[in-house]
Amino acid sequence: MEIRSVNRLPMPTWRYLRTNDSALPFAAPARCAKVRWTGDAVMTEGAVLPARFEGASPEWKEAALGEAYTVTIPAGTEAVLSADVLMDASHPDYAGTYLFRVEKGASLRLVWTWRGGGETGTAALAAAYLLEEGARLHVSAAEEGLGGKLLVSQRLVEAAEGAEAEFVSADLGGETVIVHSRGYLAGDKSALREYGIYAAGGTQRLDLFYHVDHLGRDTESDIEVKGALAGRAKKIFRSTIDFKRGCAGAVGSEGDYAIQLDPTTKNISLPLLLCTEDDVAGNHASSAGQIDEGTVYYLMSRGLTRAEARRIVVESLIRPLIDRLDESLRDGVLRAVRAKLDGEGETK
Amino acid sequence: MAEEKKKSQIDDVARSIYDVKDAVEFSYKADTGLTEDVVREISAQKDEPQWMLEKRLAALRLYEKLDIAPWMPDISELDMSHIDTYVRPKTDLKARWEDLPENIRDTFDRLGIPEAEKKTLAGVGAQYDSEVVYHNVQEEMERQGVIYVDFETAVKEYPELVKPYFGRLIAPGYHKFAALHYAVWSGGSFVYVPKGVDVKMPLQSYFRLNAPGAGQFEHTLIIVEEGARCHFIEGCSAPRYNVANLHAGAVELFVKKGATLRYSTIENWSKNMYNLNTKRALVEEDGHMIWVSGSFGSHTSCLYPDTVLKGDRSSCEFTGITFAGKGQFLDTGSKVECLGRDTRLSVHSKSISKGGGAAIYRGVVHIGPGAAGAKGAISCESLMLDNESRSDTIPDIIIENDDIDLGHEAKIGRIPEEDIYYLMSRGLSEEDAKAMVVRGFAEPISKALPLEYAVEMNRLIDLEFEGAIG
Repeated sequence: MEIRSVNRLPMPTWRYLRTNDSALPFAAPARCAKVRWTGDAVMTEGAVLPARFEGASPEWKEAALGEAYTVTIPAGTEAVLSADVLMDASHPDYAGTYLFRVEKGASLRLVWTWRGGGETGTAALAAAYLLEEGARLHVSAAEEGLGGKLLVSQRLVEAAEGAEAEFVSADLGGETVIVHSRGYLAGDKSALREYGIYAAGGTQRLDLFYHVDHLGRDTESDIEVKGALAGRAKKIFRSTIDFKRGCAGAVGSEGDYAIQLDPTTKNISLPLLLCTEDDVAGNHASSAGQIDEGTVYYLMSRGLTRAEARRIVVESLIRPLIDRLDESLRDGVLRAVRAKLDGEGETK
Repeated sequence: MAEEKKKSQIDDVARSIYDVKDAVEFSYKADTGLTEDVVREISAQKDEPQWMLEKRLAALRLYEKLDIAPWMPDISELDMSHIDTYVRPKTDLKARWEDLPENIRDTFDRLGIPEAEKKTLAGVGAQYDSEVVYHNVQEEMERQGVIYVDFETAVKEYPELVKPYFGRLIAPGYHKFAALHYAVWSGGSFVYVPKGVDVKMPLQSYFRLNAPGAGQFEHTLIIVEEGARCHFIEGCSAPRYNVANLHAGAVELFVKKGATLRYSTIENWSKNMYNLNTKRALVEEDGHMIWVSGSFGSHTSCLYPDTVLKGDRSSCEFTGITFAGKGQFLDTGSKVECLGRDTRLSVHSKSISKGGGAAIYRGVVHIGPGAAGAKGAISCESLMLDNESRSDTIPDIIIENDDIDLGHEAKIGRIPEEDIYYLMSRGLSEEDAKAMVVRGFAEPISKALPLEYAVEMNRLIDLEFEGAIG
């Protein structure tokens, strides 16, 4: 399989650490499934992404050039949309490019579901979300049973004054998951929240990239990723909050919390804070480590098995983010996390 | 009180005692620029053994091959063909201050080094341009077997100690400027603390670069044997010129089983200096390494003390502050590599930027696959005093093991208005209130320094503030 460099840090650091970007497998989607849409929205064929849409890499941006639609949510209206992508044996891949325009004062609630097993297959998505003044966007995404697939989710968000966007994704399936999210808080009082949940095992590889530019005044960003790693899973979290000159009153925080269940896991975290404006509050917090044995011991003393106790500890970490997912996905994600944890961990 | 404080703009040229320029005098100067002939000339002037010349030439070849790391700040104005790599002052090494030429003695007097030696230090080394001009250590230290000499003396008199360690921790291939260092190194200090010896008073080396357009490439090597303890203080300064000066020293520290080394630095190079220094420590079983670092000077700095926690239960603490003012780009931080089991680390970094200065924290904590039981905490705090400046935090945390407990936190912001308001309501002027908050911000670092250095650090903060706000 070909290898491509993805998710390059905006401010690189020492090369010998090999964390400035990731060299990951690349396979262009060939036999592509189609999205099954439910809900009402104005959809037109074709989508032209903004010039500053970069994607995880130029190759992956191009790989997403499959079906293409522009979705417009007219001013002042509300829309609920579901996009279900089933990649079966005859269509193991997916490629899609979307432009979502959420007009002034409009609201969109969108749910992406990715399904399909098999040892191979690539899903490449490129989506731009352009939010006009006062628009609201909530996007939930969950993967289920993606087996050995390569999943690449690339997005760009531009928020005008008072607009708010929230993305919650459960990255559970696929052998390799690449997330590339780029946000521009252009308007005053605009906000972008990014929440990621993961439970990775086996030889799964998660490559998560978030980058938010604060341009407008009193803007807000929140990036939080929580999950568990087992087996020989590897996760890399690259997150950047960039307070640009003039974004007075901006607040941004980023958090990366990982529980490592096996000695063979690898967890890398690069939480960058860049700042050229003094009137801001930027925070980063992270923690990494084993499951708290004291808590496990306590729960076992109350009659739970060790596996149940461990599962409860992990669930208590990710539950606040699961609750942010669309209600239709919550139980499925929880079930998937449990299934993964029951089959993983404690290989030492 | 507050009204008496100077409010006039103080230009960067007038940085009190640090900016006093001596007449540029030397007994020998190598040709300007960096060539094989220059390297051979330096080695010949020092009457070095063949192995050292070969090491220099190999490093030069490596320097020519290596590129400038792409993440580094812009150093395009640093032109090696205009740097004097070796300037020997007009004196040889002395063991009494009064034997030094008057201008050199006056320089170190102004910097307070002889006075500090009398009061609080067990030994002092003073380097002027490319050579150490003064070295002295208390007799009691010598009786205990402590060796504290200039590096050239160490190469000649203690080759059995120097050769196995020189270049072992910082190899010439570590990066381009490490290669440069090994090609043209000159001066520096060698410290050997025998097993079980506790050097109760600190040793200090002070590096003064007087010649415009010159480079300083001192090598510091410290070996603290099993169960021994030592505190080493490094100070540096230079007057400001309108040409680039370069500092590319190397510091190699070996902390043996159960030993403790504290390495404190107050760096106050002039603002035409490119400070591309390299420091690395290797800590063995139950050893403890403490870094205390204050970076105030330089035009551009790249400095990331690196600690390798090789031994089980070895530990390190890094406490650093960086203050970037007008025209400064200070890219500083720390590196910690955990290899042994049950290692401990604490990284506490603070930065302040003002007047268009850029303070960058760049760090890495790498917990290797075999480093089970590692525990640590990393914190980075950045204070922005205006919106002309820049402050970035670039941490890299790599964990290859589940049996660890590591927390990291970072925050960026400005001085809270309510703190200034409160202090002003108690009678302080705005600039005094801000200076007080900044001193409070820097307090964890000043507390980690010996008193007189903490006073110097606070004075440097005040210097930076004079005229900055009023």
